[in-house]
Amino acid sequence: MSMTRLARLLVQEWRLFAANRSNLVLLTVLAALLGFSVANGVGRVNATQAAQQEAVAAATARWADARSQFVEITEGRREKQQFDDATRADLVLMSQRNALVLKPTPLALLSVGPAREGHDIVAVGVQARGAAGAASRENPAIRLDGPLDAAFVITWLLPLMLIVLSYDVLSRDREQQVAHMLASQGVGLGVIVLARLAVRFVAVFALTAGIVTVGVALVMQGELSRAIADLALWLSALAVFIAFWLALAAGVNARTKNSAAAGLTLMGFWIVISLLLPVVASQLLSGASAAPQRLDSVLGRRALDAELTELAAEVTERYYAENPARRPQTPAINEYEQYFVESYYPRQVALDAQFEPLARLVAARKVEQAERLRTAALFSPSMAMKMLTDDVAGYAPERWHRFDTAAAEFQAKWRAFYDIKFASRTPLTLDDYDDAPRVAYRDEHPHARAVRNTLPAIGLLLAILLAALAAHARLRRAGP
Amino acid sequence: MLTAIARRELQLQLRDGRLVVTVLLMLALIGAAVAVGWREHNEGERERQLFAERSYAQWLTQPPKHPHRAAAFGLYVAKPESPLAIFESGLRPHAGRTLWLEAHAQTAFSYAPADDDLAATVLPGERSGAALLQLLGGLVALVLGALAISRERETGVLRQILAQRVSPLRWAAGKYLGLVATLAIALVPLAVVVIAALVAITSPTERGDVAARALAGLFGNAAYLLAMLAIGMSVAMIARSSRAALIVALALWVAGSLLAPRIAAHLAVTLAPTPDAIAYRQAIGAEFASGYDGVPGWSEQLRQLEADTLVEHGVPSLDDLPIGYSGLRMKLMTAWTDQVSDRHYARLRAIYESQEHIRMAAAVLAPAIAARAYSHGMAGMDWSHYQHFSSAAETYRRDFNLVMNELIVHGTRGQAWEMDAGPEDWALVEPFHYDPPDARFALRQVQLPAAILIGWLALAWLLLALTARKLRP
Repeated sequence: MSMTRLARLLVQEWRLFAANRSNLVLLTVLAALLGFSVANGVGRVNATQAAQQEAVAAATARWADARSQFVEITEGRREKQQFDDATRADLVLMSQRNALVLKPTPLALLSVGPAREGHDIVAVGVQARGAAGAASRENPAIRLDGPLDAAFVITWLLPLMLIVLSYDVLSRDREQQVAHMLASQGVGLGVIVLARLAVRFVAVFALTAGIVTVGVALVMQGELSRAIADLALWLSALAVFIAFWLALAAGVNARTKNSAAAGLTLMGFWIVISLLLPVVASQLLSGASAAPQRLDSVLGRRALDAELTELAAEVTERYYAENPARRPQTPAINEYEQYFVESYYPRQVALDAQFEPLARLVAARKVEQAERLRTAALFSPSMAMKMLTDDVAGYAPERWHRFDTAAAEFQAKWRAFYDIKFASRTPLTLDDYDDAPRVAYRDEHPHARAVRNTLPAIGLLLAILLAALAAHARLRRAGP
Repeated sequence: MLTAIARRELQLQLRDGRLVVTVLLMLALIGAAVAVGWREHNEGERERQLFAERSYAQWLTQPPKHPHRAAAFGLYVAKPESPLAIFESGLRPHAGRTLWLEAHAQTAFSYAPADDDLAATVLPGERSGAALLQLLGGLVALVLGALAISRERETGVLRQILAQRVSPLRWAAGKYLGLVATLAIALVPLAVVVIAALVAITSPTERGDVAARALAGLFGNAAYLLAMLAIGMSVAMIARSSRAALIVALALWVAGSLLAPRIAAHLAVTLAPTPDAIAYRQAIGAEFASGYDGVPGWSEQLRQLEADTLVEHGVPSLDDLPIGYSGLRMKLMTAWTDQVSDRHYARLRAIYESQEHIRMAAAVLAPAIAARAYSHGMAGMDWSHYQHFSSAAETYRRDFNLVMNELIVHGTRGQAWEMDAGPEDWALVEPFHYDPPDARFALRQVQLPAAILIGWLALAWLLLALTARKLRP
């Protein structure tokens, strides 16, 4: 078949598609749902960025404020107060908490993911580090209902819309008994079906990709190349995902003479692929690769805390023996300060060091579960699409683990820089203020996300390959 | 005649291989979900007991330290679950069940399984047996109802029946009963097995309560499925073709079961936004410092305490007090913090209630929301049950905080702060004991979703009757 005839066929099919009001209604519903979820995503990402900027600005301002007070004191323009003395390392550093933020990825608007509010802001100082949203007040009933995000629309609703758009792509002609006439036009039925599906693919893909791309452009901060890389990966997956459902519709239509039966069969496929397989995978994985139980780590941390508290005096002495330069040079202001500097802090350092392996174990189990889920996604294109979407939206446990490791490293750097002054109560200098370790966290490269999602991507490719082969084989044999 | 029509319909359905396979698949999934729920519940309860014992043991074996630091170390308590959680996990995946009770403030439930369990994010809903029953059972009931009528129309049977002057209403009622019997044959054995298993593993003292809750839960789920069945049939009676009937039935299912809960949740948080953790904390801090409604803030209260204490003990300086002023200050601080926190917590509860009202308003349009809320409530896994536990835990927290603050009052003198309390002092705090509410409490909490479900069932039957009257071949 010549390219000209194919182009003419495509144009003709496009006109027929566009003339069908129900198709337009369906595309409008899709656009509305996706637009709504993407708009919410834009709002959510903007709010996250604003909260993160606010947290960073507050920490920076606190430090700058202390520095300017220090300058005023050293220049004699300000009196030292007992609890307000910017030259005292213990006072300044006890309250200084730097904000480390995990910025949203360029495609964060696509999914709400499993994260709770505030976990992307970690406060780091000489004391324990913790997430800003640790005491979340979100309503669990609302969380249980799930978010109306783009990931939901694309993973579960888009296939349904594709089914409605294509369930009768050939069977309707058979029902209306015009398939014979079509077959006698010199163009194979397979080519006609392909042209019809191509038209649907273009309409749905252009609409979805367009809305998401606009959303990404609205929230983009930082490097364009990273946004393009993430977007390219996700759009490729989306294209394969859409093509899979259309190929499935072609295969079912080639075999079925009746539109209702074709629709029902496709709906059955949707239930199996989008509901049953994920449910089974989830149930199996919850047994074989159970979610890490953080209660264990809580008890472990408390046991360590109790043990170290019992040995508080020894812990402090061991700390000073190992770090003689950290022994206090000046007396404490009062009992509270003495407790925090000489008892609490050495214990906190010991606790962090001893708790680290347990924390790593929990993180490793989360990564292991994610890897198993990605393997399971080989068997369900919907699962693969959801995993991939959540990953490009920034919710892979590997990314969070990387961030947490960076926060721990920064804390170690901060402590290494300051704890001599803090523990020994050595007066601060201007250099101490100016040479403070800077937070310079750089998020993982999109390449890491692409590599991580090799299995879901292979799953999607295998699915489209199988569906296309089956459709091709059936359409070749299909008669009017 | 009614019985004959019902019997014929039942025979037709049982002969349909597709239905048998679909129902078996659904039962297998629900069975697997119950098995997973069983394991999770048992592990959870074992961990809860271990957690309660260890946490309390850690409390008792604390080394000598300042009572306030002991209170800050605190205790963990975990919400007990009814065996019904095997079938209905309710809010647990997103609420967690653990509360840290400590000196400074009432904390929120923590360590929600969904925070760590990525496997839960690959589903469009929950994976408990009840959630799957409502999701897949609702779909099966809708499609079963739609196909049962469409098939008769497309095969010409309906025309023959109507030509024989059979009352369409009676015919529809017979078909409905036949379909109900079909669903019952599929689901009742499952219900019997689940309820029997639940009752068997429950202690004799709780058995009656669990059985009552299970039966009430069964009626709720049955009402939902019966309504869906009637709606499916009504749709097919109005629709002119099986295709149209199927598309409408599926669209109703997608809209009602998948979309509506999310839209309702979105509406709820948009119209009644929950304050974020930082804003919540800051608001309490601000009110603590500056007071409210004419009640003075912290500095003023502290000044008043100092003046009152000096007068009461007739001493010129706080250093001369025969008791510990720092303990009195801690008592006042704790009482004032609790007072301020109570106001904010009451506001938060009001926000949750507003959100619940919005969700229930949406349930008027989408019964799946009401079915879920009802099921959560009867299983003791809804917010009101979490709230009940949280209130008991908060009372306990305040009591042990008071005990610790009294130790400071009597263990120090003047303005001194440092002191050490020891194991005999920790033993003054009794272990936490909690009595979960009974089925009557649950029934009171689920009145609204129950009314909505009953309303939907009545409406669905009415719709079925009306469409049956106007039935055309």
